[in-house]
Amino acid sequence: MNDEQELRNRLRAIEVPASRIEIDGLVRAGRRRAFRRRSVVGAGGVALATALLLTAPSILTTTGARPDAAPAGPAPGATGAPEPAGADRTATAPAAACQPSELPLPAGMKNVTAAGVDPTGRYVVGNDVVGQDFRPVLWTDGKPQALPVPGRSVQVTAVNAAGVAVGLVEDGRQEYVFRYQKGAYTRLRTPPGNWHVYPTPGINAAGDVVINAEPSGNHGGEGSIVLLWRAGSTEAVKLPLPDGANVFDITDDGTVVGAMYRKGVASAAYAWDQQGRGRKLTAPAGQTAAGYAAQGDWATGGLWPSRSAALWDLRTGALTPLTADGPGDAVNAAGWVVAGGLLLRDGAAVELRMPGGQEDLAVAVSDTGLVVGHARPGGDAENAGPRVWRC
Amino acid sequence: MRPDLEREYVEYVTARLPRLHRTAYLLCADAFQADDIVQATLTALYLNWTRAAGADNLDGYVHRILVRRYLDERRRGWSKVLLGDRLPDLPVPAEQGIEERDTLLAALRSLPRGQRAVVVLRYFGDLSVEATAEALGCSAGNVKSQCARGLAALRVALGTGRPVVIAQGERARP
Repeated sequence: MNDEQELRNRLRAIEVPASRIEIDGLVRAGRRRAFRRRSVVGAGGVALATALLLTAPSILTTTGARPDAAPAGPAPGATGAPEPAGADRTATAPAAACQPSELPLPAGMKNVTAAGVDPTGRYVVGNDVVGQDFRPVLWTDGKPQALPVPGRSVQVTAVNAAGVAVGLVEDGRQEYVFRYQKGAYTRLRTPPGNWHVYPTPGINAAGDVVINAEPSGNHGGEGSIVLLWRAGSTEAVKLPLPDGANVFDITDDGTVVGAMYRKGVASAAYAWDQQGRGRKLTAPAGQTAAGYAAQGDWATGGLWPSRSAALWDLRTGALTPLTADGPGDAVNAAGWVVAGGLLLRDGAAVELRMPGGQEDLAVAVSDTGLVVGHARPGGDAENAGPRVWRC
Repeated sequence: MRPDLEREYVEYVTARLPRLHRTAYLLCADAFQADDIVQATLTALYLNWTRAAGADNLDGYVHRILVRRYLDERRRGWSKVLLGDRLPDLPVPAEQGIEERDTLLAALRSLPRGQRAVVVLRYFGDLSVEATAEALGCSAGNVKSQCARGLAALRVALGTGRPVVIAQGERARP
Protein backbone atom coordinates (compact mmCIF):
# COMPACT_ATOMS: atom_id res chain seq x y z
CA MET A 1 0.00 0.00 0.00
CA ASN A 2 1.40 3.42 -0.82
CA ASP A 3 1.81 6.21 1.68
CA GLU A 4 -1.14 8.18 0.40
CA GLN A 5 -3.55 5.30 0.80
CA GLU A 6 -2.08 4.44 4.18
CA LEU A 7 -2.59 8.04 5.25
CA ARG A 8 -6.20 7.98 4.08
CA ASN A 9 -6.86 4.85 6.09
CA ARG A 10 -5.12 6.12 9.18
CA LEU A 11 -6.91 9.48 9.12
CA ARG A 12 -10.20 7.57 9.12
CA ALA A 13 -9.03 5.50 12.07
CA ILE A 14 -8.03 8.40 14.35
CA GLU A 15 -10.17 8.44 17.46
CA VAL A 16 -12.09 11.68 17.56
CA PRO A 17 -13.77 12.91 20.75
CA ALA A 18 -17.55 12.75 20.49
CA SER A 19 -19.19 15.80 19.01
CA ARG A 20 -21.58 17.68 21.25
CA ILE A 21 -23.58 18.90 18.28
CA GLU A 22 -27.13 17.65 18.01
CA ILE A 23 -29.20 17.87 14.86
CA ASP A 24 -32.20 19.29 16.75
CA GLY A 25 -29.97 21.98 18.18
CA LEU A 26 -28.67 22.87 14.73
CA VAL A 27 -32.16 23.26 13.35
CA ARG A 28 -33.18 25.40 16.33
CA ALA A 29 -30.10 27.61 15.89
CA GLY A 30 -30.82 27.96 12.18
CA ARG A 31 -34.46 28.88 12.81
CA ARG A 32 -33.45 31.41 15.46
CA ARG A 33 -31.02 33.10 13.15
CA ALA A 34 -33.40 33.09 10.21
CA PHE A 35 -36.11 34.58 12.42
CA ARG A 36 -33.77 37.20 13.78
CA ARG A 37 -32.72 38.28 10.30
CA ARG A 38 -36.36 38.76 9.32
CA SER A 39 -37.07 40.62 12.57
CA VAL A 40 -34.11 42.92 12.10
CA VAL A 41 -35.18 43.82 8.59
CA GLY A 42 -38.63 44.70 9.90
CA ALA A 43 -37.33 46.89 12.70
CA GLY A 44 -35.14 48.88 10.33
CA GLY A 45 -38.04 50.05 8.21
CA VAL A 46 -40.11 51.15 11.16
CA ALA A 47 -37.29 53.07 12.74
CA LEU A 48 -36.34 55.17 9.74
CA ALA A 49 -38.88 57.88 10.42
CA THR A 50 -37.71 58.26 14.01
CA ALA A 51 -34.12 58.38 12.92
CA LEU A 52 -34.55 61.64 11.04
CA LEU A 53 -35.01 63.41 14.34
CA LEU A 54 -31.59 62.42 15.55
CA THR A 55 -28.38 64.29 14.99
CA ALA A 56 -25.60 62.88 12.85
CA PRO A 57 -22.77 61.12 14.61
CA SER A 58 -19.75 63.38 14.81
CA ILE A 59 -17.76 60.79 12.94
CA LEU A 60 -19.66 61.65 9.78
CA THR A 61 -19.11 65.34 9.91
CA THR A 62 -15.60 65.63 11.25
CA THR A 63 -13.26 62.79 10.51
CA GLY A 64 -14.55 61.65 7.16
CA ALA A 65 -14.20 57.99 8.04
CA ARG A 66 -16.49 57.11 5.21
CA PRO A 67 -14.31 56.52 2.18
CA ASP A 68 -16.89 57.67 -0.33
CA ALA A 69 -18.93 60.83 -0.09
CA ALA A 70 -21.33 60.78 2.83
CA PRO A 71 -24.80 62.06 2.10
CA ALA A 72 -25.60 65.37 3.70
CA GLY A 73 -28.12 65.40 6.46
CA PRO A 74 -28.83 63.24 9.42
CA ALA A 75 -27.90 59.59 9.49
CA PRO A 76 -30.19 57.07 11.05
CA GLY A 77 -29.37 55.66 14.41
CA ALA A 78 -27.22 56.95 17.17
CA THR A 79 -26.57 60.29 18.67
CA GLY A 80 -22.92 59.54 18.09
CA ALA A 81 -21.56 60.50 21.47
CA PRO A 82 -21.50 57.96 24.25
CA GLU A 83 -24.48 58.22 26.52
CA PRO A 84 -23.81 59.84 29.86
CA ALA A 85 -23.11 57.48 32.70
CA GLY A 86 -26.29 56.27 34.28
CA ALA A 87 -28.42 57.20 31.31
CA ASP A 88 -31.59 55.20 31.03
CA ARG A 89 -30.70 53.03 28.08
CA THR A 90 -34.25 51.88 27.65
CA ALA A 91 -35.22 55.39 26.63
CA THR A 92 -33.07 55.53 23.52
CA ALA A 93 -34.49 55.49 20.02
CA PRO A 94 -35.58 52.21 18.49
CA ALA A 95 -33.05 50.27 16.48
CA ALA A 96 -32.60 51.88 13.09
CA ALA A 97 -30.84 50.56 10.02
CA CYS A 98 -27.19 51.45 9.68
CA GLN A 99 -25.83 52.44 6.30
CA PRO A 100 -22.90 50.45 4.92
CA SER A 101 -19.91 51.51 2.94
CA GLU A 102 -16.98 49.54 1.65
CA LEU A 103 -13.53 49.93 3.09
CA PRO A 104 -11.12 50.25 0.17
CA LEU A 105 -8.38 47.61 -0.02
CA PRO A 106 -4.66 48.09 -0.43
CA ALA A 107 -3.48 47.07 -3.89
CA GLY A 108 -3.21 43.31 -4.39
CA MET A 109 -5.23 42.30 -1.33
CA LYS A 110 -8.33 40.17 -1.80
CA ASN A 111 -9.38 38.42 1.38
CA VAL A 112 -9.45 41.17 3.98
CA THR A 113 -11.64 41.34 7.06
CA ALA A 114 -11.81 44.05 9.68
CA ALA A 115 -10.59 43.18 13.18
CA GLY A 116 -11.13 46.32 15.21
CA VAL A 117 -11.87 50.03 15.38
CA ASP A 118 -10.63 52.70 17.76
CA PRO A 119 -13.18 54.43 20.04
CA THR A 120 -13.33 57.54 17.82
CA GLY A 121 -13.90 55.56 14.61
CA ARG A 122 -10.94 57.21 12.93
CA TYR A 123 -8.73 54.10 12.79
CA VAL A 124 -9.76 50.66 11.62
CA VAL A 125 -7.52 47.59 11.59
CA GLY A 126 -7.93 44.38 9.65
CA ASN A 127 -6.06 41.52 8.07
CA ASP A 128 -5.66 39.99 4.66
CA VAL A 129 -5.25 36.21 4.55
CA VAL A 130 -2.59 34.77 2.27
CA GLY A 131 -2.66 31.00 2.44
CA GLN A 132 -2.70 30.46 6.20
CA ASP A 133 -0.95 33.69 7.14
CA PHE A 134 -2.13 37.19 8.03
CA ARG A 135 -1.12 40.52 6.47
CA PRO A 136 -2.03 43.62 8.50
CA VAL A 137 -3.97 46.63 7.21
CA LEU A 138 -4.57 50.00 8.90
CA TRP A 139 -7.21 52.45 7.68
CA THR A 140 -6.90 56.06 8.74
CA ASP A 141 -9.94 58.20 7.94
CA GLY A 142 -11.00 55.46 5.56
CA LYS A 143 -7.67 55.40 3.69
CA PRO A 144 -6.03 51.95 3.65
CA GLN A 145 -2.41 51.20 4.27
CA ALA A 146 -0.81 47.77 3.98
CA LEU A 147 1.49 47.62 7.00
CA PRO A 148 4.96 46.11 6.71
CA VAL A 149 5.21 42.36 7.36
CA PRO A 150 8.13 41.67 9.71
CA GLY A 151 7.42 37.94 9.96
CA ARG A 152 5.72 35.05 8.23
CA SER A 153 2.32 35.98 9.64
CA VAL A 154 1.47 39.37 11.11
CA GLN A 155 -2.02 39.85 12.55
CA VAL A 156 -3.18 43.24 13.82
CA THR A 157 -5.93 42.89 16.41
CA ALA A 158 -6.65 46.26 18.05
CA VAL A 159 -6.01 49.99 17.69
CA ASN A 160 -6.48 52.95 20.03
CA ALA A 161 -7.55 56.56 19.44
CA ALA A 162 -3.94 57.64 18.93
CA GLY A 163 -3.59 55.16 16.07
CA VAL A 164 -1.33 52.82 18.03
CA ALA A 165 -2.01 49.28 16.84
CA VAL A 166 -1.17 45.95 18.46
CA GLY A 167 -1.16 42.36 17.28
CA LEU A 168 0.82 39.17 16.93
CA VAL A 169 3.82 38.23 14.83
CA GLU A 170 4.39 34.55 14.12
CA ASP A 171 7.60 33.58 12.44
CA GLY A 172 8.55 29.97 12.72
CA ARG A 173 9.03 29.28 16.39
CA GLN A 174 8.90 32.92 17.29
CA GLU A 175 5.61 34.37 18.35
CA TYR A 176 5.30 37.72 20.01
CA VAL A 177 3.15 40.78 20.64
CA PHE A 178 3.96 43.86 18.60
CA ARG A 179 3.10 47.52 18.96
CA TYR A 180 2.90 49.51 15.73
CA GLN A 181 3.29 53.23 16.23
CA LYS A 182 4.36 56.04 13.94
CA GLY A 183 5.29 53.66 11.15
CA ALA A 184 7.47 51.34 13.22
CA TYR A 185 7.03 47.96 14.87
CA THR A 186 8.24 47.35 18.39
CA ARG A 187 8.49 43.86 19.84
CA LEU A 188 6.95 43.69 23.31
CA ARG A 189 9.15 41.34 25.28
CA THR A 190 7.91 38.58 27.56
CA PRO A 191 9.66 37.78 30.88
CA PRO A 192 12.69 35.44 30.84
CA GLY A 193 11.85 31.92 29.67
CA ASN A 194 9.68 30.69 26.82
CA TRP A 195 6.10 31.87 26.80
CA HIS A 196 3.13 31.30 24.54
CA VAL A 197 1.01 34.46 24.39
CA TYR A 198 -2.74 34.16 23.75
CA PRO A 199 -5.27 34.92 22.44
CA THR A 200 -4.65 38.45 21.09
CA PRO A 201 -3.46 41.68 22.75
CA GLY A 202 -5.78 44.48 23.88
CA ILE A 203 -4.86 48.18 24.14
CA ASN A 204 -6.42 51.18 25.92
CA ALA A 205 -6.38 54.92 25.25
CA ALA A 206 -3.13 55.47 27.10
CA GLY A 207 -1.45 52.73 25.06
CA ASP A 208 -1.22 50.09 27.81
CA VAL A 209 -1.25 46.59 26.31
CA VAL A 210 -2.41 43.33 27.94
CA ILE A 211 -2.28 39.65 27.01
CA ASN A 212 -2.09 36.25 28.73
CA ALA A 213 0.98 34.03 28.59
CA GLU A 214 1.51 30.40 29.52
CA PRO A 215 4.85 28.59 29.65
CA SER A 216 5.62 27.17 26.19
CA GLY A 217 4.43 23.59 25.96
CA ASN A 218 1.63 24.06 28.49
CA HIS A 219 -1.99 23.83 27.46
CA GLY A 220 -5.29 25.23 28.57
CA GLY A 221 -3.76 28.18 30.39
CA GLU A 222 -1.81 26.01 32.85
CA GLY A 223 0.62 28.21 34.75
CA SER A 224 -0.62 31.27 32.88
CA ILE A 225 0.14 34.85 33.87
CA VAL A 226 -1.25 38.19 32.72
CA LEU A 227 1.26 40.61 31.17
CA LEU A 228 0.94 44.38 30.94
CA TRP A 229 3.18 46.64 28.90
CA ARG A 230 2.73 50.26 29.88
CA ALA A 231 2.54 52.78 27.07
CA GLY A 232 5.91 53.15 25.40
CA SER A 233 7.51 50.33 27.41
CA THR A 234 8.76 47.03 26.01
CA GLU A 235 9.22 45.42 29.44
CA ALA A 236 6.27 43.36 30.62
CA VAL A 237 4.85 43.72 34.11
CA LYS A 238 3.18 40.62 35.54
CA LEU A 239 -0.14 41.73 37.02
CA PRO A 240 -0.76 40.43 40.57
CA LEU A 241 -3.91 38.50 39.71
CA PRO A 242 -5.10 35.23 41.26
CA ASP A 243 -3.93 31.93 39.73
CA GLY A 244 -6.20 31.04 36.84
CA ALA A 245 -7.02 34.67 35.96
CA ASN A 246 -7.01 35.38 32.24
CA VAL A 247 -7.83 38.75 30.68
CA PHE A 248 -8.94 39.79 27.22
CA ASP A 249 -9.20 43.58 27.35
CA ILE A 250 -8.16 46.69 29.26
CA THR A 251 -10.23 49.85 29.77
CA ASP A 252 -8.94 53.41 29.84
CA ASP A 253 -8.81 53.46 33.66
CA GLY A 254 -6.64 50.33 33.62
CA THR A 255 -9.34 47.83 34.58
CA VAL A 256 -8.68 44.44 33.01
CA VAL A 257 -11.58 42.18 32.11
CA GLY A 258 -11.63 38.41 31.70
CA ALA A 259 -12.45 35.35 33.73
CA MET A 260 -11.17 32.84 36.23
CA TYR A 261 -10.22 29.59 34.52
CA ARG A 262 -9.68 26.16 35.98
CA LYS A 263 -8.19 23.46 33.74
CA GLY A 264 -8.89 25.68 30.78
CA VAL A 265 -12.57 26.20 31.52
CA ALA A 266 -13.99 29.54 32.63
CA SER A 267 -15.79 29.54 35.98
CA ALA A 268 -16.67 33.23 36.46
CA ALA A 269 -16.27 36.56 34.67
CA TYR A 270 -14.19 39.18 36.49
CA ALA A 271 -12.90 42.70 36.29
CA TRP A 272 -9.68 43.44 38.19
CA ASP A 273 -7.79 46.59 38.93
CA GLN A 274 -4.03 46.54 38.50
CA GLN A 275 -3.50 45.79 42.17
CA GLY A 276 -5.40 42.57 41.64
CA ARG A 277 -8.61 43.62 43.41
CA GLY A 278 -11.38 41.81 41.59
CA ARG A 279 -15.06 42.37 41.01
CA LYS A 280 -17.07 39.34 40.01
CA LEU A 281 -19.37 39.99 37.08
CA THR A 282 -22.79 38.53 37.76
CA ALA A 283 -23.99 35.31 36.16
CA PRO A 284 -27.45 33.79 36.48
CA ALA A 285 -27.76 30.75 38.73
CA GLY A 286 -26.42 27.64 37.04
CA GLN A 287 -24.45 29.58 34.40
CA THR A 288 -20.75 30.27 34.06
CA ALA A 289 -19.47 33.43 32.44
CA ALA A 290 -16.40 34.96 30.80
CA GLY A 291 -15.74 38.60 29.94
CA TYR A 292 -14.23 39.14 26.49
CA ALA A 293 -14.19 42.89 25.87
CA ALA A 294 -14.67 46.16 27.73
CA GLN A 295 -14.99 49.86 27.03
CA GLY A 296 -15.85 52.69 29.41
CA ASP A 297 -18.18 51.35 32.08
CA TRP A 298 -19.24 48.29 30.08
CA ALA A 299 -18.00 44.77 29.55
CA THR A 300 -19.34 42.04 27.29
CA GLY A 301 -18.76 38.32 27.01
CA GLY A 302 -20.71 35.13 27.21
CA LEU A 303 -22.78 32.87 29.45
CA TRP A 304 -22.66 29.08 29.35
CA PRO A 305 -24.37 26.68 28.92
CA SER A 306 -27.01 29.08 27.58
CA ARG A 307 -24.47 30.31 24.97
CA SER A 308 -25.96 33.79 25.16
CA ALA A 309 -24.17 37.12 25.13
CA ALA A 310 -23.80 39.21 28.30
CA LEU A 311 -23.49 42.92 29.03
CA TRP A 312 -22.13 43.98 32.42
CA ASP A 313 -21.97 47.33 34.14
CA LEU A 314 -18.38 47.43 35.41
CA ARG A 315 -19.30 49.84 38.21
CA THR A 316 -21.68 47.38 39.83
CA GLY A 317 -21.00 44.02 38.16
CA ALA A 318 -24.71 43.90 37.25
CA LEU A 319 -25.67 41.75 34.28
CA THR A 320 -27.95 42.46 31.34
CA PRO A 321 -28.48 39.13 29.55
CA LEU A 322 -28.74 39.41 25.77
CA THR A 323 -30.47 37.03 23.41
CA ALA A 324 -27.68 36.77 20.82
CA ASP A 325 -26.34 33.34 20.02
CA GLY A 326 -22.72 33.36 21.05
CA PRO A 327 -20.60 35.51 23.30
CA GLY A 328 -20.21 39.26 22.93
CA ASP A 329 -17.00 40.12 21.08
CA ALA A 330 -16.98 43.91 21.39
CA VAL A 331 -18.72 46.70 23.30
CA ASN A 332 -18.66 50.50 23.11
CA ALA A 333 -18.93 53.19 25.79
CA ALA A 334 -22.70 53.37 25.29
CA GLY A 335 -23.12 49.66 25.96
CA TRP A 336 -23.71 48.60 22.34
CA VAL A 337 -22.58 45.02 21.90
CA VAL A 338 -21.32 43.05 18.91
CA ALA A 339 -22.13 39.35 19.30
CA GLY A 340 -22.34 36.57 16.75
CA GLY A 341 -21.86 39.05 13.92
CA LEU A 342 -24.79 41.20 15.05
CA LEU A 343 -24.94 44.66 16.55
CA LEU A 344 -27.14 44.77 19.66
CA ARG A 345 -28.41 48.01 21.05
CA ASP A 346 -30.56 48.01 24.16
CA GLY A 347 -30.77 44.26 23.73
CA ALA A 348 -32.22 44.46 20.23
CA ALA A 349 -30.43 43.65 16.98
CA VAL A 350 -29.89 46.69 14.80
CA GLU A 351 -30.08 46.24 11.08
CA LEU A 352 -26.78 46.55 9.29
CA ARG A 353 -28.10 47.29 5.86
CA MET A 354 -26.56 45.30 3.03
CA PRO A 355 -27.37 45.58 -0.66
CA GLY A 356 -28.51 42.61 -2.70
CA GLY A 357 -28.95 39.91 -0.11
CA GLN A 358 -25.39 40.04 1.17
CA GLU A 359 -24.85 38.86 4.70
CA ASP A 360 -23.30 41.28 7.12
CA LEU A 361 -20.98 40.29 9.92
CA ALA A 362 -20.14 42.90 12.52
CA VAL A 363 -16.83 42.58 14.35
CA ALA A 364 -16.41 45.73 16.43
CA VAL A 365 -18.05 49.09 17.21
CA SER A 366 -16.64 52.51 18.09
CA ASP A 367 -18.01 54.88 20.73
CA THR A 368 -19.16 57.06 17.83
CA GLY A 369 -21.36 54.29 16.45
CA LEU A 370 -19.11 53.15 13.61
CA VAL A 371 -19.46 49.38 13.18
CA VAL A 372 -16.73 47.48 11.33
CA GLY A 373 -17.01 44.00 9.86
CA HIS A 374 -17.34 42.36 6.53
CA ALA A 375 -19.86 41.11 4.01
CA ARG A 376 -20.51 37.75 2.48
CA PRO A 377 -22.45 37.62 -0.76
CA GLY A 378 -25.63 35.64 -0.59
CA GLY A 379 -24.77 33.70 2.50
CA ASP A 380 -21.46 32.17 3.27
CA ALA A 381 -19.38 31.27 0.27
CA GLU A 382 -16.91 34.13 0.05
CA ASN A 383 -15.66 37.15 1.85
CA ALA A 384 -16.96 40.17 -0.05
CA GLY A 385 -14.61 42.50 1.78
CA PRO A 386 -14.48 44.75 4.82
CA ARG A 387 -17.33 47.17 5.53
CA VAL A 388 -18.18 49.95 7.90
CA TRP A 389 -21.70 50.92 8.95
CA ARG A 390 -22.64 54.23 10.48
CA CYS A 391 -25.15 53.69 13.23
CA MET B 1 -37.65 27.27 5.83
CA ARG B 2 -40.36 25.14 4.27
CA PRO B 3 -40.88 21.86 6.14
CA ASP B 4 -39.89 19.71 3.16
CA LEU B 5 -36.70 21.71 2.63
CA GLU B 6 -35.91 21.51 6.31
CA ARG B 7 -36.31 17.75 6.15
CA GLU B 8 -33.82 17.64 3.28
CA TYR B 9 -31.41 19.71 5.35
CA VAL B 10 -31.78 17.39 8.33
CA GLU B 11 -31.18 14.36 6.13
CA TYR B 12 -28.09 15.86 4.58
CA VAL B 13 -26.63 17.03 7.88
CA THR B 14 -27.39 13.77 9.65
CA ALA B 15 -25.48 11.88 6.99
CA ARG B 16 -22.52 14.25 6.89
CA LEU B 17 -22.12 15.37 10.50
CA PRO B 18 -19.64 12.69 11.65
CA ARG B 19 -17.40 13.30 8.67
CA LEU B 20 -17.51 17.09 8.94
CA HIS B 21 -16.78 16.86 12.64
CA ARG B 22 -13.79 14.64 11.95
CA THR B 23 -12.51 17.02 9.26
CA ALA B 24 -12.81 19.96 11.64
CA TYR B 25 -11.10 18.05 14.41
CA LEU B 26 -8.22 17.02 12.17
CA LEU B 27 -7.87 20.63 11.00
CA CYS B 28 -7.77 22.25 14.41
CA ALA B 29 -6.84 19.30 16.67
CA ASP B 30 -9.20 20.55 19.34
CA ALA B 31 -12.53 18.98 20.19
CA PHE B 32 -14.23 22.17 21.40
CA GLN B 33 -13.05 24.22 18.47
CA ALA B 34 -14.10 21.48 16.06
CA ASP B 35 -17.64 21.61 17.44
CA ASP B 36 -17.70 25.38 17.04
CA ILE B 37 -16.46 25.25 13.48
CA VAL B 38 -19.02 22.62 12.50
CA GLN B 39 -21.86 24.38 14.31
CA ALA B 40 -21.07 27.66 12.54
CA THR B 41 -20.73 25.91 9.19
CA LEU B 42 -24.03 24.07 9.45
CA THR B 43 -25.94 27.07 10.79
CA ALA B 44 -24.71 29.04 7.78
CA LEU B 45 -25.78 26.16 5.55
CA TYR B 46 -29.27 26.21 7.10
CA LEU B 47 -29.65 29.91 6.33
CA ASN B 48 -28.56 29.34 2.77
CA TRP B 49 -30.06 25.91 2.22
CA THR B 50 -32.51 26.77 -0.53
CA ARG B 51 -29.69 27.92 -2.75
CA ALA B 52 -27.01 25.55 -1.52
CA ALA B 53 -29.12 22.41 -2.00
CA GLY B 54 -29.06 23.09 -5.72
CA ALA B 55 -25.28 23.44 -5.89
CA ASP B 56 -23.39 21.18 -8.30
CA ASN B 57 -21.10 19.97 -5.60
CA LEU B 58 -22.76 20.46 -2.23
CA ASP B 59 -20.02 18.66 -0.29
CA GLY B 60 -17.37 20.89 -1.86
CA TYR B 61 -19.43 23.95 -1.01
CA VAL B 62 -19.78 22.86 2.61
CA HIS B 63 -16.04 22.18 2.85
CA ARG B 64 -15.32 25.68 1.64
CA ILE B 65 -17.56 27.11 4.36
CA LEU B 66 -15.87 24.84 6.90
CA VAL B 67 -12.40 26.06 5.98
CA ARG B 68 -13.54 29.67 6.15
CA ARG B 69 -15.03 29.10 9.59
CA TYR B 70 -11.73 27.54 10.60
CA LEU B 71 -10.01 30.74 9.50
CA ASP B 72 -12.62 32.81 11.37
CA GLU B 73 -11.81 30.88 14.52
CA ARG B 74 -8.15 31.67 14.03
CA ARG B 75 -9.01 35.34 13.68
CA ARG B 76 -10.80 35.13 16.97
CA GLY B 77 -7.60 33.90 18.57
CA TRP B 78 -8.94 30.42 19.28
CA SER B 79 -10.28 31.36 22.65
CA LYS B 80 -13.73 32.81 22.32
CA VAL B 81 -15.96 29.90 21.66
CA LEU B 82 -19.63 29.40 21.14
CA LEU B 83 -20.47 26.02 22.55
CA GLY B 84 -18.45 26.07 25.74
CA ASP B 85 -15.95 28.54 27.07
CA ARG B 86 -12.43 27.38 27.57
CA LEU B 87 -8.86 28.30 26.72
CA PRO B 88 -7.09 26.91 23.67
CA ASP B 89 -5.55 23.45 23.56
CA LEU B 90 -7.28 21.91 26.50
CA PRO B 91 -5.43 18.64 27.02
CA VAL B 92 -7.30 15.38 27.24
CA PRO B 93 -7.01 13.93 30.76
CA ALA B 94 -4.25 11.36 30.97
CA GLU B 95 -6.56 8.45 31.76
CA GLN B 96 -8.41 8.97 28.49
CA GLY B 97 -5.29 9.71 26.51
CA ILE B 98 -7.05 9.58 23.17
CA GLU B 99 -4.90 12.21 21.57
CA GLU B 100 -1.60 11.09 23.01
CA ARG B 101 -2.26 7.51 22.03
CA ASP B 102 -2.59 8.37 18.43
CA THR B 103 0.81 9.05 17.01
CA LEU B 104 -0.58 10.17 13.66
CA LEU B 105 -2.68 12.84 15.32
CA ALA B 106 0.36 14.01 17.27
CA ALA B 107 2.34 14.13 14.04
CA LEU B 108 -0.49 15.96 12.30
CA ARG B 109 -0.51 18.53 15.08
CA SER B 110 3.20 19.10 14.63
CA LEU B 111 2.73 20.15 10.99
CA PRO B 112 2.57 23.83 10.16
CA ARG B 113 -1.08 24.90 9.86
CA GLY B 114 -1.04 25.24 6.09
CA GLN B 115 0.42 21.80 5.55
CA ARG B 116 -2.03 20.25 8.00
CA ALA B 117 -5.02 21.83 6.27
CA VAL B 118 -3.80 20.64 2.88
CA VAL B 119 -3.21 17.10 4.13
CA VAL B 120 -6.61 16.90 5.86
CA LEU B 121 -8.60 18.26 2.94
CA ARG B 122 -6.76 16.15 0.35
CA TYR B 123 -6.53 12.85 2.20
CA PHE B 124 -9.49 12.94 4.54
CA GLY B 125 -11.84 15.33 2.75
CA ASP B 126 -10.89 13.75 -0.60
CA LEU B 127 -10.90 17.17 -2.21
CA SER B 128 -9.08 17.49 -5.50
CA VAL B 129 -5.91 19.58 -5.69
CA GLU B 130 -7.92 22.36 -7.31
CA ALA B 131 -10.74 22.24 -4.77
CA THR B 132 -8.22 22.23 -1.91
CA ALA B 133 -6.47 25.24 -3.43
CA GLU B 134 -9.78 27.06 -3.74
CA ALA B 135 -10.85 26.25 -0.20
CA LEU B 136 -7.53 27.43 1.25
CA GLY B 137 -7.06 30.40 -1.03
CA CYS B 138 -3.73 29.28 -2.45
CA SER B 139 -2.41 27.97 -5.77
CA ALA B 140 -2.67 24.38 -6.98
CA GLY B 141 1.12 24.29 -7.09
CA ASN B 142 1.22 25.29 -3.46
CA VAL B 143 -1.22 22.50 -2.55
CA LYS B 144 0.98 19.95 -4.34
CA SER B 145 4.18 21.07 -2.67
CA GLN B 146 2.55 21.29 0.79
CA CYS B 147 1.07 17.84 0.26
CA ALA B 148 4.46 16.38 -0.59
CA ARG B 149 6.09 18.01 2.42
CA GLY B 150 3.27 17.05 4.74
CA LEU B 151 3.38 13.47 3.56
CA ALA B 152 7.15 13.34 4.02
CA ALA B 153 6.81 14.63 7.57
CA LEU B 154 4.06 12.15 8.41
CA ARG B 155 5.87 9.18 6.90
CA VAL B 156 7.70 8.53 10.15
CA ALA B 157 4.46 8.35 12.08
CA LEU B 158 2.88 6.17 9.43
CA GLY B 159 5.80 3.78 9.22
CA THR B 160 7.06 3.31 12.73
CA GLY B 161 4.17 4.40 14.88
CA ARG B 162 6.38 6.99 16.54
CA PRO B 163 5.45 10.66 16.38
CA VAL B 164 7.59 12.73 14.09
CA VAL B 165 10.12 15.02 15.69
CA ILE B 166 9.09 18.63 15.49
CA ALA B 167 11.57 20.27 13.19
CA GLN B 168 13.11 23.66 13.77
CA GLY B 169 10.75 26.40 12.69
CA GLU B 170 7.61 24.39 13.21
CA ARG B 171 5.24 24.46 16.09
CA ALA B 172 2.89 22.02 17.69
CA ARG B 173 0.10 24.54 18.09
CA PRO B 174 -2.71 25.34 15.72
